[in-house]
Amino acid sequence: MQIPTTQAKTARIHFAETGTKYLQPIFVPFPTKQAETIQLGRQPYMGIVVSTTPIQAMSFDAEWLNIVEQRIIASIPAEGYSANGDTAWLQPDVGRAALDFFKRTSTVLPSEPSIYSSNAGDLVAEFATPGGRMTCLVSPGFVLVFASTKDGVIEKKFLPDQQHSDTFRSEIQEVTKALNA
Amino acid sequence: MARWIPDSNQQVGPKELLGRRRFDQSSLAGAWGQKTIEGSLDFRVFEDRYSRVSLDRLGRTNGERQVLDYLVVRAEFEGEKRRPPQRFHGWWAIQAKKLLENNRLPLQIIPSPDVGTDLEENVYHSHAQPLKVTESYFVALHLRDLFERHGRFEHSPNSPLKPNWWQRKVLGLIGLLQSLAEKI
Repeated sequence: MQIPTTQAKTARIHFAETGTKYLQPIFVPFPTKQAETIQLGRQPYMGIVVSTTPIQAMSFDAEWLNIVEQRIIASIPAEGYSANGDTAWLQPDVGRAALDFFKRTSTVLPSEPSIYSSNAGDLVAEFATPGGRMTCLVSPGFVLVFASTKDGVIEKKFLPDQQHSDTFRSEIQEVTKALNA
Repeated sequence: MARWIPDSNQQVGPKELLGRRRFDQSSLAGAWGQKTIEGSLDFRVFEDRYSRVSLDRLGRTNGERQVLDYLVVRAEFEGEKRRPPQRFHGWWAIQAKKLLENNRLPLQIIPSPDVGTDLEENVYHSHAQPLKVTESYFVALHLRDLFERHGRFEHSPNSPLKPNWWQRKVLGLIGLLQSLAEKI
């Protein structure tokens, strides 16, 4: 059984059952596709939607995250294939860094990105917003962010491994806000 | 009329048209069919690991046919040498003063003719580099931003995508209207 789309869109609180049989409330500020297609238990609990899906399935990720992750994973060549210099493929360490970057920041990024590999092998992610364009270059060691607006440019370099996720996310969010200002 | 050949130490004039070669670029194997960002140039066109971005001097004010003919065989030769070989399509072109007078990333343009034999030689080669040390990725991003705002595409004379006479007139008219709108 699936939650009807309209119900998922209006619902703000779901109770989900974890694998350990505990009921925990989860606040869903922006219902995602996962929330729309979540599998339900046999009966609603006290009139509230109950899910048997593990808690991880109800995430705070952006709607587009899943498809972008699939694109990245499908662009990492099989073990043993050398993709040096071929921009159709991502090196595994770059792919891992990109997956980590999107997982940590998807909710504060402006839109679904267009991704490709730079000549040097890092991942380029382009975002369009009404206020301008933002480009992120994701490498295993750093993330560069460049945003071009009518008034000027914003350029920042981050070292995600040395930053707390919240700090990193809020700094990315500042760039996004500046673009939309 | 003889082909324009700048002296090896002749500074790049503000009205000169400079071009960055554009070759085929591949998509990520897993990202076929993804939405592209409208009006966005491919970052890889401007990428250079040493922050010295090669440019061709295409003409004194506009792309000069004889100069383009000289350059296109060299650009196609360069594309054939790449692994995998890449087809040459033309140049992203911009007036030199738009690069020299920008206030976001101060740049200098240095004439640097390639000395060599036959197709290795390029008397129109120059490169743009920042006046202060800047990360190469940021140089490429700034350059792309400038080309997007002030540049245009100069098709290779051999490109099948080259517009015909009527299309060129319409594009020229659009460019004229855009420059008038900028002035207003």
